[in-house]
Amino acid sequence: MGLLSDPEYGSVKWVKVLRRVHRPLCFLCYVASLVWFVMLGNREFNNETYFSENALLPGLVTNEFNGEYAAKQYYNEFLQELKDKYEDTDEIPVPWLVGKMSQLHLEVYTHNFTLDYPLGEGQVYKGTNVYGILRAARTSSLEALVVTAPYRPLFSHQKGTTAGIALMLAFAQFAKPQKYWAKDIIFLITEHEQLGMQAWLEAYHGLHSDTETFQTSLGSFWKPGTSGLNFEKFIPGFDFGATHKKCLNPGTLKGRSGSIQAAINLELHTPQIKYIEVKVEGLNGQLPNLDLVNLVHKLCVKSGIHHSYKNSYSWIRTRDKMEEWTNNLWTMLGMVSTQLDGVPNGNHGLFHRFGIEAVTLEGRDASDPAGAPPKVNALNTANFYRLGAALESILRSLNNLLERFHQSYFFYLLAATNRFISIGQYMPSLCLLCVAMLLRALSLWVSIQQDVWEEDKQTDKQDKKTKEKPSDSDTGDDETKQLVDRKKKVTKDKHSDSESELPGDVKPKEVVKEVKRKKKEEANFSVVSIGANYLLVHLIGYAVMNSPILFTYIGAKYFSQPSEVSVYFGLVAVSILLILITPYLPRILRKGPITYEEMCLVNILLLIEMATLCLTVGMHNFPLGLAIAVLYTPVALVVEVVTKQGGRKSSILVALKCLLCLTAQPMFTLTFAMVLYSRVLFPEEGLMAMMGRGRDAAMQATMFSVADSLIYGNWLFNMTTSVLLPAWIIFWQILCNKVDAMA
Amino acid sequence: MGAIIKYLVAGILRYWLIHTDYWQILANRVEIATPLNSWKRLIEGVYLYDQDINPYEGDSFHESPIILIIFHFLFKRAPYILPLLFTAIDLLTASLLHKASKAFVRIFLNCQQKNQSDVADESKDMLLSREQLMETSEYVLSVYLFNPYSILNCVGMTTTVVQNALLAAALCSAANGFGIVACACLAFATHQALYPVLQIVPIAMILAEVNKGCDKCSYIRTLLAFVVSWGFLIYISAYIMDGSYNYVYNTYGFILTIPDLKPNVGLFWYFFTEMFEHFRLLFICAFQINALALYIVPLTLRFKKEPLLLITVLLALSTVFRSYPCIGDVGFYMAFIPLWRHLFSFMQQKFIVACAFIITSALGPTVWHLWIYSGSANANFFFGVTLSFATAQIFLITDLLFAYIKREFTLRNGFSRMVDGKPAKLVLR
Repeated sequence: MGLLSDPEYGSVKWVKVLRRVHRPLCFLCYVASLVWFVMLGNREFNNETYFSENALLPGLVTNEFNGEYAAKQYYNEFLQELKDKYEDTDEIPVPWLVGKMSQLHLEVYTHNFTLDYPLGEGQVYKGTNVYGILRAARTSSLEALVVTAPYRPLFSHQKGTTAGIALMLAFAQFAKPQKYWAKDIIFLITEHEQLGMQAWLEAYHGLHSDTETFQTSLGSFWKPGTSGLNFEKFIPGFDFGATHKKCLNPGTLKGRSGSIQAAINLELHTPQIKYIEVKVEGLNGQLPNLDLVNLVHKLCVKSGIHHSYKNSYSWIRTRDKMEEWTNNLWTMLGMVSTQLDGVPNGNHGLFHRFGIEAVTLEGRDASDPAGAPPKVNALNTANFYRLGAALESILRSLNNLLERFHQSYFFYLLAATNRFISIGQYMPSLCLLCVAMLLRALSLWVSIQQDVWEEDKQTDKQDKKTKEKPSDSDTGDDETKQLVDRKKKVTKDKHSDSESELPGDVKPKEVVKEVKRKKKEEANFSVVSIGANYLLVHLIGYAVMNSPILFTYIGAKYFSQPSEVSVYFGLVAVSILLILITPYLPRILRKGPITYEEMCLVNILLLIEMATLCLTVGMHNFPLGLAIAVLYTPVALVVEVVTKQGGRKSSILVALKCLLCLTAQPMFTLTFAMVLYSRVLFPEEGLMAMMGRGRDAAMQATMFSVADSLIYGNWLFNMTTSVLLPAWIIFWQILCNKVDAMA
Repeated sequence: MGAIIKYLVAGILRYWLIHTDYWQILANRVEIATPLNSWKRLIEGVYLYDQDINPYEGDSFHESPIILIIFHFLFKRAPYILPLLFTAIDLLTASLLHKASKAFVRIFLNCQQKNQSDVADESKDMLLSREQLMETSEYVLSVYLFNPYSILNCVGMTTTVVQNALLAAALCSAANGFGIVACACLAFATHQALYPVLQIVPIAMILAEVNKGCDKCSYIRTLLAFVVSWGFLIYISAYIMDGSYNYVYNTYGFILTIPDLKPNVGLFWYFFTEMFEHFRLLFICAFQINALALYIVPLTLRFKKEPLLLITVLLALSTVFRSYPCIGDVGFYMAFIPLWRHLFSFMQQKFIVACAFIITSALGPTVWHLWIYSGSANANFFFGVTLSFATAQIFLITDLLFAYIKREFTLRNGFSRMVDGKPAKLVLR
């Protein structure tokens, strides 16, 4: 309780120690966090995966799958159909799919959806999904499993999925007469990759109504036409409420089943695959329940199919600890980089948003664009029989589920196909970074208090000469009060025995001093201007978040540029504008010069905000939180209030800091990262070509993140512009404003 | 001029937020809307009443019948005015708090004058001047107008907005010596949410102090006025509900027995979901005694000379421990914190409390999203966050109380804390 109740805050031992050691301590935290993360790859620091959900009973049934011949036939027929009729159109062969599914006596439906592309000049895309429902014999359609495959036209630059669709049909044929199904199985073929999936899921869960506004919430009390007070009336055309009309119209489904328990997405281009890559990362970095991931890996083993996850291959098990460690680390980093942008790497990723566990099984052969793993040519190829058996055992295991996946882990990192790291193990590495920032904030906080204390000492020395009793009883501020206290204490400490006060002899001087101090105090601390600046900067961020549609409009109208160019260059222009303008913002909002304490307080607030941001983002999407923390903690630790008094050395230091801060600007960081990335991919190209490539990549990345945020609800762009950008602006303001040092 | 700009900015901010697309999300947040005060349930109740169905027969509406008919009238006549009305009420609350704090400062100065003889010589400087105290009421205004908690509460259009206005009116009129008005407003607030009943103690003390005269008579008069107006409101409500008192089970009964365990920022829901049914009554009693009766007597005895502190602390405590707290209540008592600016230098945990408030406010919605929408976290995550939010508030209260005591001690004994010639240290035990 001593820490909480001791009034002599500034003089307590821990404060002194903290002030002295906080820099090395923060650095230590930073290094420790990185070391911790690297250590997680080691076998001693992660865990073997296991099944938590007993109801799954994986692999207890005897495989009965006998649809190998049918699958081959479907495969050939489908290829033939595509070659004959759909060679040069990207339409989905609805009649063929509907016909085949109807033959199997599934309940077949089609589902139409439209997309009003938000960042263009009113382009409208249409698409159709086909799905068939196998009604379970034993229950009344309360629960369902989904098997899905995206449809890809023949000329698509991605690998086809024809084998996946054929396998799905063959499996439907096999499963239809079985009596053991306790859950419906929905066989779904989607068009336009994730767009179709998103539309189907939204339609399935009935998400097509626009958001409720105040007026609609009134229900029958609201009589249309009586819209009494409305902003739009005064300035028509301007979107006050930032009302985002939903751009994806999911349409309606004619047939539904129960609540979906799990989904398996198949991306198989040919039956002769070498191995299966299990993809798990979903929208906004969300992951499926670890039990499902385990299930898929385990049952692949049982069915004799080789499987992999990132850099971890089931057919390679090394005994060399060091090699294993590096492999694990690369797998983890691969997972981090996939989750970072929050874009799902397969159709499974969109299910997670609805609390449905889903994974994608991607077939790969030796010449896969993702790169050939070691010893891949020695593997024997898979066939429809093995794939079907794997799918059967996975679905029959899911069929046993008694309730939704709720055991096991939702937050984890995978170090190998059979090793994982739980949230409790990886969180410390993020928390250490946040602790570093909070430590810095705390030390700044005590230092403002301490500075006041030291200032007192000096004035006290002057006081000694006149032997007057310092009298600044009423300047009212938090700081002043502190000041008075400290002063009293100091006075007491120093000359408690000798001085008997001589009251009332130096009155005029006292008054002058009082007035001076009062003025100083008033200028010293203006919470209003700090608050207004803070609010304004965040409003700027909010405006930037809503700007891409405006940029597209301007770009199309005046420069006739495509939307991606105008959005990218619009954002770059805004960034440059903000760099130039924002340092002056805090000055506009106030009369006197900015003081040291104010800037310190802003810095403290900022550090707390950054720590909170990293923590909250890390809860949703650990890799993203970690990346932000790793990138911005050094900036946050380096940035400090710049004082006017300082020699040449310090001004060079400040310039360096400014440079560091500039590179951390989100837009520039993205561009640099893309340039570097293109350098890694195409090392032979010249500098200009590399820059051009990087710029194009950054353009694409910006565009994708904006479109994803509008269509799928990926919040990476929103978070970056509305929180990270304002935080960066404040860093920049702190570095660019020189203030008077404390006396 | 400055004040007008403040009101204007705060008003526009609130009004604009009500008209954005985020309104629905905000109005349905568990942190903002509880079963007691949510906009959705208000509409539901009014709709049922409009259809001649008794809204108290179901389990959806728990506001007082008076609020019900007022809003029924508004809904029927001028629904479009409601956003403006809520904004206006919140601004009115701010201005009432401003007035109240000015009056409080006067009371405080009187008090200080009276006790001047007790102050040690070397602590004379610590006495507060008029100007400096007058400034604090401006801070009270700004804090209420721009506190995110109170803004979100107003934007969510909860009935807590009305309750805050009533409480502010009660405090303001008490500080200015209008006993009857204060009692009536407080009675209305109590009728709405029960917990404001605690404020009758400090209000009686303030009234006795402001209206000079016989203290005991004043206490009795206040109490009488309060009880009579409360009883009158209860009777009026029954009259509205056709003479039936059944609504009491669904208003006071609902607050006291906590049948709806929808999560909120308080501490009740988690305990009562975990509890065995036959222990329920015992724990309800324990929790409600904690919220309603436990602190009032000791705090009143200790701070009988300082009704202002008593108001602040009782508001805060009843917010932490009430059965359906929302952030609107938090925002309301936070407006009183600037009154204690002179205690800030004695407070030890400002940094910890500020960090805890910021982090829990951001983390709460996050884990809620993970729990409810993603299905990946669970109730323990959210409860952990609300628990630390409550802890931060408790830290704030104890820190404030202890700072007050320290200041009082320093005033009386001077700065030198020497025991046997060695510097001594104050420790809370």
